[in-house]
Amino acid sequence: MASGIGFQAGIATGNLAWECWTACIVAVSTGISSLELIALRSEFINGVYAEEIVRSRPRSWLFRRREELRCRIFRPDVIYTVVVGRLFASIALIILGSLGHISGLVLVVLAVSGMFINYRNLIGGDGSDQMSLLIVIALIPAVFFPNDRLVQVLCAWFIALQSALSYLVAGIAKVASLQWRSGECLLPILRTTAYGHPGVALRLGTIEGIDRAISWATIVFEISFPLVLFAPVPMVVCVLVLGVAFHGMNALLMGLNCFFWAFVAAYPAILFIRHV
Amino acid sequence: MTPIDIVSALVFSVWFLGTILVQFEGHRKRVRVRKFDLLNLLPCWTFFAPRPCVSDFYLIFRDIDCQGVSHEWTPVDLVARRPPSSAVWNPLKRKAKCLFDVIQFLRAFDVDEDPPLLSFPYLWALNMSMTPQHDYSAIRRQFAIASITYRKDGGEDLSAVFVSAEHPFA
Repeated sequence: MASGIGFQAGIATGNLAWECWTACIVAVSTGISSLELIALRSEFINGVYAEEIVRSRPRSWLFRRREELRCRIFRPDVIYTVVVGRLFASIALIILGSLGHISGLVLVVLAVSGMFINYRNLIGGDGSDQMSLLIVIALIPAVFFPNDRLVQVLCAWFIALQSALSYLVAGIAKVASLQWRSGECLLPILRTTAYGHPGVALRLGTIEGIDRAISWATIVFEISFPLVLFAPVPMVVCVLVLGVAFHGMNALLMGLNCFFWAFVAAYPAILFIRHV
Repeated sequence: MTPIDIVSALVFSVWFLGTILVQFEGHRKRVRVRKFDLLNLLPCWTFFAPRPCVSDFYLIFRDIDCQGVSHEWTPVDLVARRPPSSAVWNPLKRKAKCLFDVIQFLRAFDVDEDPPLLSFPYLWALNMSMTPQHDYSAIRRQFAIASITYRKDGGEDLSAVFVSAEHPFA
């Protein structure tokens, strides 16, 4: 499956099927998050990401003797340029990936810009940012060495394992909570301003036992997700379809729009390792 | 195996093991580990659990005048109701998430315990609350984090998660 033609001019071509799918999907996540940060550009000047605020934290060992560099990277124009560059890189990756090519250089730009934004902003990021960055970095060796079969497999396994771990940890953390086991937290979550949907909360509140059923359905799905690593392929496809539906519902009900793209981006890697 | 195979296997193994290690530590320990994870490469996968997000949080502030009289609490505009389009486009979630991240740090401290005043979360909250203009008679400002916790029976509980010291205006 991985008999790539070669690496030319920073663009890998050939049989990089799962990489192309993963790259296209994760680029949608990074593109949307970049656009959202651009929409919040005023926050870099005098809001939650203002220079004077992010500079107030203690100096890390990285910048112990480079105060001038440290001051420069926190400037609003610098972060804005990085975010715009990240947006263009995302668009390029979507276009190239849909044509069956991936640029390793574009992946490097996405990786470096993602790490820069994490370091500079420090807060406000979420799981979709973490999963996107992880996938982008993991794709780099696969794209730069398309003829190395083992690298292809290692990269895919790393993405698949992180994906499985994310669901498993989320499920275990819910099982450890009495509020989740009883389902009594579901309706209150849906009533919150940041992550809720009052209309749905109102409708679900009239159905006896629905909150407990949904809680346990979520827990069972998350805890059993790691089965995709060794279950029969038909079962793997079923679980992945459930995963798409799960993240789609989360986007609709809770506004977790980037989660959909970031976590579904790992699914082509899972399908690849199941066919190896 | 080629050198790149070995390097990839090593990096991925360390990264994956590190990810497992940071998942279930207590909050403060996680903060200590994060001191070394400058680029946030060790993800946290415990979404909304074990403590579910059943509360709305608000950063509020009040001014105190030279006679020690406190004004009313005023909220800082950080959290807003989501429109239907938030399934596709939701930039405001980042502002709310900033507040949420700061709260996770501040709420870890007991009532009798003072949080580090020079910690980034405290300074972030202080900066955000000091930004709005103050009345000419006010000489100090105090911020707090209030929460509205929703119950299954439809009720709500209002409480103060954190109250800061009083800080003078420059």
